Amino acid sequence: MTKRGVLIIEDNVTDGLVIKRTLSRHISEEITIARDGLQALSFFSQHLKGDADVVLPRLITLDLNMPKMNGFELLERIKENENTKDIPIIILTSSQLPDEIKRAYRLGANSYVIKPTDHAQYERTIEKIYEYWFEFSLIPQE
Amino acid sequence: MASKDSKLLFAFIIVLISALLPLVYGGTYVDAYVEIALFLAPLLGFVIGYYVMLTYADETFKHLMRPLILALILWAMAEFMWSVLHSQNTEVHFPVAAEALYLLGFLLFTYALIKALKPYTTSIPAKRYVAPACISAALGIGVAWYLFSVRGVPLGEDAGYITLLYLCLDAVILFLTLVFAVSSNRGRAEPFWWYLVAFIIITLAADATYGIESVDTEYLLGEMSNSLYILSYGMLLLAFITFSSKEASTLRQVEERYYTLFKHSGAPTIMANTDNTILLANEQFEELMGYGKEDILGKMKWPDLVDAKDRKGILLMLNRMQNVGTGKPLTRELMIHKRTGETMYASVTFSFIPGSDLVAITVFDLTQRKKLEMELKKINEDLQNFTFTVSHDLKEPLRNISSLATYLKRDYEGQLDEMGVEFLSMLVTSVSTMSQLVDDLLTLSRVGRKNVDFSFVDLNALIDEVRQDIEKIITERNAKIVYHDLPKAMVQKTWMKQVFQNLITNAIKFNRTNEPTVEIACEDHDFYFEFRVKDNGIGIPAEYHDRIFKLFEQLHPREEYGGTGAGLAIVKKIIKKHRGDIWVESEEGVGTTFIFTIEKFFIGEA
Repeated sequence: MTKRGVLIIEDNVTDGLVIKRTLSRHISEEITIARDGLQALSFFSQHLKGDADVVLPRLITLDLNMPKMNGFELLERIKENENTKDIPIIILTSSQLPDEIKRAYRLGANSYVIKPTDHAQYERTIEKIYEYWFEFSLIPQE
Repeated sequence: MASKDSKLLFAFIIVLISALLPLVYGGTYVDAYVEIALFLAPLLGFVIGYYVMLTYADETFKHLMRPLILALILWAMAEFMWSVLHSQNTEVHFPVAAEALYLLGFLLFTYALIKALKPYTTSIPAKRYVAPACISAALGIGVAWYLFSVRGVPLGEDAGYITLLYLCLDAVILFLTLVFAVSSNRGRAEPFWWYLVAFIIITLAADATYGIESVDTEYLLGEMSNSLYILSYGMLLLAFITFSSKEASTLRQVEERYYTLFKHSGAPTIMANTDNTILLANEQFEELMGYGKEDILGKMKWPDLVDAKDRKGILLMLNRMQNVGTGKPLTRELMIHKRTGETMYASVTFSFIPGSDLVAITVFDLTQRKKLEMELKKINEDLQNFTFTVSHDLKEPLRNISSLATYLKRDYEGQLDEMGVEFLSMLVTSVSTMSQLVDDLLTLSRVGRKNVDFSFVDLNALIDEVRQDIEKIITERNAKIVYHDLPKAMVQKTWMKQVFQNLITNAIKFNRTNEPTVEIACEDHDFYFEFRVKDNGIGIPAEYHDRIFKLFEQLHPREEYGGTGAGLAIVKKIIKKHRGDIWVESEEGVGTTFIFTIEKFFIGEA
């Protein structure tokens, strides 16, 4: 059985690339990028239909400002679904509006992280996320 | 003028005719001198009083004088009746008509005094009524006791109760005149009132003697009571004469002028006392606020008209002002509630009137200006939102460029020649500078945004926090930050931290000594705090003292000291939000002191 990896939900190609590249230096599991909310949902439905290649991730990073379906709506859907609601979700966004932060946590986000503008800091941030969620934290088994 | 002269002429003719009456009627009466004097005294009083009233009295005093001079005519008529009765040697024990005239005169006088006092009842503190009430009651009761108990004047007979009635009226009038005398609400007691007091006390004595006369018919006593009456009229004359004295009339005219100014200045104005009760309001104020005199005067307290959010601050400030007593007026923009429930932005000026408990409050409606200001503010906000959005949206591609340039450098460095590697490094540096600029722009636009909460913050603790935040640069440069006894102040905490962080960082950065030292001190002024942030750095040439506060203005090449040139612009914007100001004193090579103020009693965001 394939080990559980990370689902990156991110519409910005470069951001997705940076998150994936940085994480893949540390983990060997599958890292998937969904470009918007709909893609992410179809990823989950594939798994639920019994597609053996699609494994539920053990961590999700989620951008808030996305086309088609924005991050909040998707967050709500994931946290409402029995199968996916236990997966930790890290909001990774550039918006630091207090209202958005509050709303994200209300909807069940597990963490809210700002994308730094500087690349070096950006990499450090993602590495910290990796350390925290992969090395320190335990998450529910499937 | 002609009308005044003709009025006076008319009065003289009446008096002349009246004066001739006893000659026609009672010329046979032997002891008529006293009678005639008693008759002529009130007539003379009438003439002089009438003249003074027409010449010197303002509207308020005319209300008082008219009944008073009318009373004098009545008294003259009463005296005339007496003298007629005497001259005819009629045995009338109790001349009802004459006494009725006397009484009517006194009642008129009382009425006039009460009416004159009424507008000021609210402005005279209750304690000022105490002494006059005690004195007049004690005198009235004392004399009554002496007459009826000691001298045995028969209370049940005509002369008894007429005397009692007089004593009562005398006591009431004494009380009223004393109230005026001890607390002339115009800021000083006038001799006019003291002569009136003397008049009524002597009248009281005369009435008492008159009472005794009914049981002790010695000739001397009758003479004495008459003399006292004449003397009392003399006091009235003196009162009128002082009234016409140059100083008094000038003062009255000046006051009248001020009152006219107050009434017709066009500026909605009220006068209030120390417990904020409104005592006077001009028509413009009533019109502006939609209230009538009856709703306001003596009933309404002006802070009730101020919006709750501004109320506490302005009261604190006024209280402070009164204690300090600078004598300068205070002007603040406040939100005012009209009777209709509408709110109005107004510029409100408070001026304490020296030597009194009064404060004059003038209200200028700024609604129209505020509307324009709001529009401007809206445009400004839009612009700020635009800056915020733009700088926010700029961050994403910048971050992407930064990432891609880093990957390019990291992964493909071997495939580029030396020049290519150099260009890549320059690209990374530029991107880093630009993201710093964008970050500063974001901070600056955030200061302009709403939703800020001001609170009382201990600035010693605040600077402690700042010191921890910038610990790195402090240790690197071996810097010293000196401060103590900073106050608690009403600030927006995050912003104020930013102010101190920017100023302290600058002070350490632009410093070539081995031990950069930053001293922070605060001076406590009446209405504001003045902070001084002093360093021993490189200093700023005088010609740049204004320019440094402009956005992206840098005196030194970025390569040398870093930074974007937005720091002081941010500081200035934050200080302005605290209703303060910032400026700099500096000498090249010696050091720089940044001085800024923040308002103590914060009323709304600037």
